[in-house]
Amino acid sequence: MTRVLIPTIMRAHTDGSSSVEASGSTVAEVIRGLVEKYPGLQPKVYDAEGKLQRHLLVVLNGDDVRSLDGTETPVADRDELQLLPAMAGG
Amino acid sequence: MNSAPAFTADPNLARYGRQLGIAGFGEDGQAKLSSAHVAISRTGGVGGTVAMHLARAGVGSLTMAHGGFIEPEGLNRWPWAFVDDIGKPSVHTHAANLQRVNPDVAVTAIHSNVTAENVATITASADVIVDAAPLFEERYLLNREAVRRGVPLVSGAMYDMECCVTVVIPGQTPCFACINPVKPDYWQDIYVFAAIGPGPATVGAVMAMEVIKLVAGIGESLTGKLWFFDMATNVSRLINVARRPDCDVCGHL
Repeated sequence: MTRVLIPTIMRAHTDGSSSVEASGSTVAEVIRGLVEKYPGLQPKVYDAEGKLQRHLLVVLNGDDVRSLDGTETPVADRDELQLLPAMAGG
Repeated sequence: MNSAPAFTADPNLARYGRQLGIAGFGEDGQAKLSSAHVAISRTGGVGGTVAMHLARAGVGSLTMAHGGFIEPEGLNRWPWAFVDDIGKPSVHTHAANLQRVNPDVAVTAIHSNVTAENVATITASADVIVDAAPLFEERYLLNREAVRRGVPLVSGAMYDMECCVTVVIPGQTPCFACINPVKPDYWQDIYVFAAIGPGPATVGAVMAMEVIKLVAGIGESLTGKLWFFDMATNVSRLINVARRPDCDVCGHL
């Protein structure tokens, strides 16, 4: 299982949890598994066309997945995935 | 009377005596900081904190742009918001307080937020641009101008109890638009985010330190890194962020 860090804005859909577990062998699969487990996350994570929201930074073990193989990057047990929405508060 | 640590024999540097002992900083770092010009977009909770620390540290000159006025809702986090200043243009109040802190800093206060029309003027001649704006539109303008001029951009933001800071060196590191190619559609105005004092103060303090490190050439910068700190859970991460070759702002560099 992969540990997924949940940003504040999504925690209302994970029963308040800031960290949950989801399974999958790639980043995309883990995210799909996350949304299956917590369906309220669907519009926060995917756009109307079913694509990953572009304002989300997806981070695997501290690396932006765009520098890896994107959402097709393989994920192993004990990896940590972080979803981080863009923020601008001042 | 207690004596201060003897980090300098120069009486003109007495007010900076404590920081002159910072490893690698010294009088050379102080001289670099004292000749630096920093432009700050918005001087609320985050940007106001940046300005305060840079003024105390002895930056040469500050240009601060912030439209609007001191309002009750800013009292919980803005470093220079006082009850008896409610209704006054906030940037002028901030500037007056900064001059009380350090009259040697040349402060230019602009009672306007960054726009496409004024961004070049506000940031002209700045050695570092500080992006503390609460709207993505302003952040994208500042980023584009920083990239156009090849000037470092220190960008920080918060949401609720989450904090983020990064440093952009145009052409070398991801720019703000590389990291955030689009804004969230829910970020429509400045009232979208909740905030309580320690959040913006922490972001602003980290940003001010990044400016000082950049100018003085000390320490390790947040270049190519996004510092994330969730004050709700105390989870902190240093994220390696990536340039986007198709970035329409810096992809050509």
